[in-house]
Amino acid sequence: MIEVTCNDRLGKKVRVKCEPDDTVGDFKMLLAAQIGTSHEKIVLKKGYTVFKDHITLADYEIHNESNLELYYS
Amino acid sequence: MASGDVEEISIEETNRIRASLGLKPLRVDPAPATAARERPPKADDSGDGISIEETNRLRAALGLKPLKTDTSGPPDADDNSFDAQERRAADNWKKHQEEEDRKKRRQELKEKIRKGQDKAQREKKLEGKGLADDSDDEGALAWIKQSKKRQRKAAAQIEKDLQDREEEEARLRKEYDARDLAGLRVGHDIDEFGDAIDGAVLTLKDAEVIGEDNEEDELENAGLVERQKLKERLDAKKRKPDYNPYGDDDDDAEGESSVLSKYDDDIDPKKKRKFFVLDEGGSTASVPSKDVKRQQQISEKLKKIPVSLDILKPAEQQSDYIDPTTIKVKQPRKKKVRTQRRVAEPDEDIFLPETVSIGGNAAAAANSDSGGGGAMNVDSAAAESKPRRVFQESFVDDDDLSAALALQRRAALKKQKALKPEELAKKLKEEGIDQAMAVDDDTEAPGLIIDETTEFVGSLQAPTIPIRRPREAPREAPREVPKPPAEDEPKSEPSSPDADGDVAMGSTNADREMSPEAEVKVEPEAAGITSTGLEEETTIGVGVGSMLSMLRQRQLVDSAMDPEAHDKMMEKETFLARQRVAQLEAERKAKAARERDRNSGKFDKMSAREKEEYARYENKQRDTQEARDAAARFKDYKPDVKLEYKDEFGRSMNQKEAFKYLSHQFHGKWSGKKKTEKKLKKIDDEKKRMAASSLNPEGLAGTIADTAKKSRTAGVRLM
Repeated sequence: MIEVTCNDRLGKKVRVKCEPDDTVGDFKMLLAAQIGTSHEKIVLKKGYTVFKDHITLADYEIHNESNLELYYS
Repeated sequence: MASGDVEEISIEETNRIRASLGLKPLRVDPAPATAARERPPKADDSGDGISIEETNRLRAALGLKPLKTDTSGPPDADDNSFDAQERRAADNWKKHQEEEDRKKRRQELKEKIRKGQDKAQREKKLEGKGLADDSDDEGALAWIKQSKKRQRKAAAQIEKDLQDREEEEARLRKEYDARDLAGLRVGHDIDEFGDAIDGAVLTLKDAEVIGEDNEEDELENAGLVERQKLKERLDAKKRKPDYNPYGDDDDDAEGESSVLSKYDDDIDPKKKRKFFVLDEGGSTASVPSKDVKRQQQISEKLKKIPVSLDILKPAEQQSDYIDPTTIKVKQPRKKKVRTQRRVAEPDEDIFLPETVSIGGNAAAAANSDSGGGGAMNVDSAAAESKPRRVFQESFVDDDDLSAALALQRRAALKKQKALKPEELAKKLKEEGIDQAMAVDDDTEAPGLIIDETTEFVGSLQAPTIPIRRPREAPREAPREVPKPPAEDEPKSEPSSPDADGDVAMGSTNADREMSPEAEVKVEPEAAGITSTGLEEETTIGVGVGSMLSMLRQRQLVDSAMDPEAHDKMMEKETFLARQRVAQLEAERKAKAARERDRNSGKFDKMSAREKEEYARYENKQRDTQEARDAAARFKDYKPDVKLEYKDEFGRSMNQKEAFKYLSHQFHGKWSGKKKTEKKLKKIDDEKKRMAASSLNPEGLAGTIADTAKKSRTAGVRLM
């Protein structure tokens, strides 16, 4: 189990517990459940890298205690 | 940035959510996560929500694996989770490393063993007594006593050796006699000695210390060597020719004559040296002299040639005369006498065709040759011969030319088959039937003569107005008559040529297209002929139809459009219309979409770059959609494509010109001065022609400019 923090720089900072082999899409759904927006509207980025939905967190090397940028589409 | 207020939910809550989403519940390793959390004690509002059991239940509902606590579950080989993979990877790495270490250790061991062995081997050599190991530890006195013994032993040994050597030398010295010379080589030919062979002193030849292995000792006589050298030197001074054409009798026995024998000394001085070997007793007795050698060679040769002893038998009876049957004599071939080719042909052949043939040349030929004689048709001959004879006289002076012409004519005549009257009649009949058949295709009743004249005349265009002028009235009547039949059933009109050679255009195969024109032309001409004789000009101002008909009449516009072309035009129009409509529709939709986006307010949240990206994305989507629609529209539309090439003046070019233009553009090189001038001139002429011919009456005399010029006035008065 890892904990990933998502910050949208506008006041929302969320820590989500998940597994490293969850896909980004699942992660988004968890995140959506936590923050209240629709998971389709969430865009996760790190710098210019937009995380695609079908790839796992482990493959993106998102480990415990990593920070992601939260955007909305 | 917000000051560290992190929203968080508990594991159980998370698991519940995961269960609802259909994800596996979290695998909890309580140590790492909690350890990480303990470090920064943040304001953690949400405490532990649900218990682990509830979490696990949720996870099970979701289909997720239950939480992995420390105790839960043995390491499962099938567990493909991330952690398990990592663990396996670590294990593999460790194993790998251990393998490497083991191998290294083994190698080292081996090295050590080998080194030890080598060392042992080396040290084995040093075994045994060393120099200082003689020690018997007896003391100095003993050593002195022993030293004397040793000395005596050594001296004895030396003496013995010396004695042996001396004995051998003595032996060798005493027993040296002729026998010791056995097998020695003497480097001269036995004949060179001559009589001085008794008492000749031979000395050992100089040789290299480290010579070749097969070099034996060689004896030589100093005097002989000197003499030889002198001889060679003198020969060289004499400069004798290298080649002796008479052969060399001396060398014959040995076969020395090779090609470059004079260079042998330089190439290989050791090559051929005459030598002989001393025999067992060290004498030259066994060496054969030259004469003996020669005898031996001859006898060998003779032995090789077997001679039969039947020579004593009497020879066969041989006559001095040759058997005549064995003689072969070559007969000279008879030369064939070539008969002369018959040049003169019987004149009878020429007479008959003359009366029949249409081409009149033959008559002339026959006339000139036979002198206007015999079996000819008097009338025609008389009529023709007179003018022809005048014509012929100019050639009579030139005999060769006339002869050649005569020959040609005869050849041509011979080609034409000589027809008898019956055959001729048959031929004509056949021709008539053929023509009739050809005509029958489009006519009901045969009888129309179609030959070159009618064809030619038929292809003539309508005669121009000025020619018509004086004869309008009388011709009207016959014009009317052919007109209706020409329309309905283009019957065979007996081609009665008019005075000026015009023939009413009976419909021929070739003139199908022309016939509407003919009708059109005939009608207005018949109807609109006014008192002045000119046709009444159609008032153009009324409508397009009259203009069109006038243009058609003058053949500046193609007459009829076939229905296919019309259909194609319709298709094209509809397609274009649809295209335009679709385009407008798409634009409208795009505008609406953009408005919607703007109003939805999401642009507020996006940065400039994101807006750009979004816009690009939208455009791309729109383009792809439009492209797909266009492709779909194109699917059932098959345009009629016609390529038109226009040059810089706007003229349309034919294929040749278009290609030239393209080539010039491609190579960047246009024509030179003259050629361009020519081209421009041509274009100007064309323009003038077009301008002149458009609304002017056609023909040679018709142009307004010409008439103006003729009358030397500025313009033409229209009637």
